Amino acid sequence: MEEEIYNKVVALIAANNHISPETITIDSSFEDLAMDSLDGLTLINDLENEYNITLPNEEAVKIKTVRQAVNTLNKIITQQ
Amino acid sequence: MENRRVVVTGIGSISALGKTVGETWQNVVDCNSGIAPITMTDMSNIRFKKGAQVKEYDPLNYFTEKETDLIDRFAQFGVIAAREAVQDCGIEWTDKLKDSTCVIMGTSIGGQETSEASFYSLFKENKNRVNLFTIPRIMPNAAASHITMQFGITGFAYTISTACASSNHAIGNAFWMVRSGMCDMAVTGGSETPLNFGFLKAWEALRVVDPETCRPFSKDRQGMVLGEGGAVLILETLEAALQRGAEIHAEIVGFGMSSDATHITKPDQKGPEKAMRMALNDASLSSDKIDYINAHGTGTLANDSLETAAIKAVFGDHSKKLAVSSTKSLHGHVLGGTSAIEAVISASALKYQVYPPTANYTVPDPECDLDVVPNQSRKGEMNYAMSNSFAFGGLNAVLVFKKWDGR
Repeated sequence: MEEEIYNKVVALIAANNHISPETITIDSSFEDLAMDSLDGLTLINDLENEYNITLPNEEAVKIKTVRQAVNTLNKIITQQ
Repeated sequence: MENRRVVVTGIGSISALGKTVGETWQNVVDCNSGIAPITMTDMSNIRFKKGAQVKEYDPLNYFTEKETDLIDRFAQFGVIAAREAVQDCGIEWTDKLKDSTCVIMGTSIGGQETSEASFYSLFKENKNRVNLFTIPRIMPNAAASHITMQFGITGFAYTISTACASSNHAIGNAFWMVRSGMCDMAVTGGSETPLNFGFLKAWEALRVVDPETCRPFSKDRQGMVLGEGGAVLILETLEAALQRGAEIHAEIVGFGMSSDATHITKPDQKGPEKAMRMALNDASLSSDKIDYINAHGTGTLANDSLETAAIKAVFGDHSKKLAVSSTKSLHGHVLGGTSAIEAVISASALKYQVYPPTANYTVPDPECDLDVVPNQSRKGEMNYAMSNSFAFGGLNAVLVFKKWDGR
């Protein structure tokens, strides 16, 4: 599941920000990828739609890296 | 031409705090917040449930059925506030005065309720036609236009849309127009009705709305609470007001504005600082004269700490002495109409010598360590009040008011 989420996160970041998926790694921060706060929230909103889940605001605003996005989503999905 | 002094001789307001200035001011003094569960919209699919809705509003108490067909809720609020302000100022209209009066209003989104209803009928109900009045109801200048028609005002009229700073920009423009002699009287303010499903979903996506309530400057704040309403001020020259024996609520002495030029939603400290400095400069006032700031104070994590830092940068040591409160904790964030409501509250604060409170304050935040007048209004001497508005898009507008002391 974690790998599937990772692949989805990479695909969404690449599509939303018009960058190559190859430039994105599990260790990338949003800042490394030139993503600002709105780009970060766009990713979270897209992931919520994709997996039909809801992240509380306080969790969502803490996500600043690819790893944090994958881990947070994985936690929520496996808890369901 | 030498600058003329400009005074506020009429005020009108409708919001979650009340349908008149009297009700509004009493709830400010008593720190009764108008924030409550939103009932005008189905909130079951929205993460937050609360807003600052005008309570028990029936448009037919103010308009004929035919008028309500033509006038969207946001413009209704503008007209209602203008009627109260005009009545309050006690003006006797002449053709000459109507010709030299301007109307400058602010709104962020115009007739949002009409947009949603009309387009729902197209997209969801597969109708082939929308209501004929869709465009005249949606257009953001509708409030200004209906106010001109209401009173037969034939001077210039327009609407300013700068998101959350719209009505401070409108009032500031009107102040400069009267001061410079471009017009003799101004009907100015703003109105907004953002509590519609699609628009609330758009705010939900930005994750800046507090699901509980609005707690400006508190460490546990989680964001803003949206509100609806409108407010209007009548501005005229001091000379004209004295000549006709009008009651003066306050004087407007300064206006400043700036743009951050950095980010479409993330605020930057330098822009607000510049607007506050420009307003003080416009008023020929040193910063230590300001007693009270009606803060932008949205209750978002980003705004309140940044606004505190900007105030400290502009006011230095004096920032420890002045009082700074956010009345958005009472009337909600009325977007393009909010600074007009805050202008009415600032003028009333000077008139009655009462510092408006910040409601719902819980835990001190070291990054917001100003005197925020927590949870209780306070009597005290106040000579000058500043009112801040900083909009998405980095557009800032600041007004300075002075107590009217008879000279």
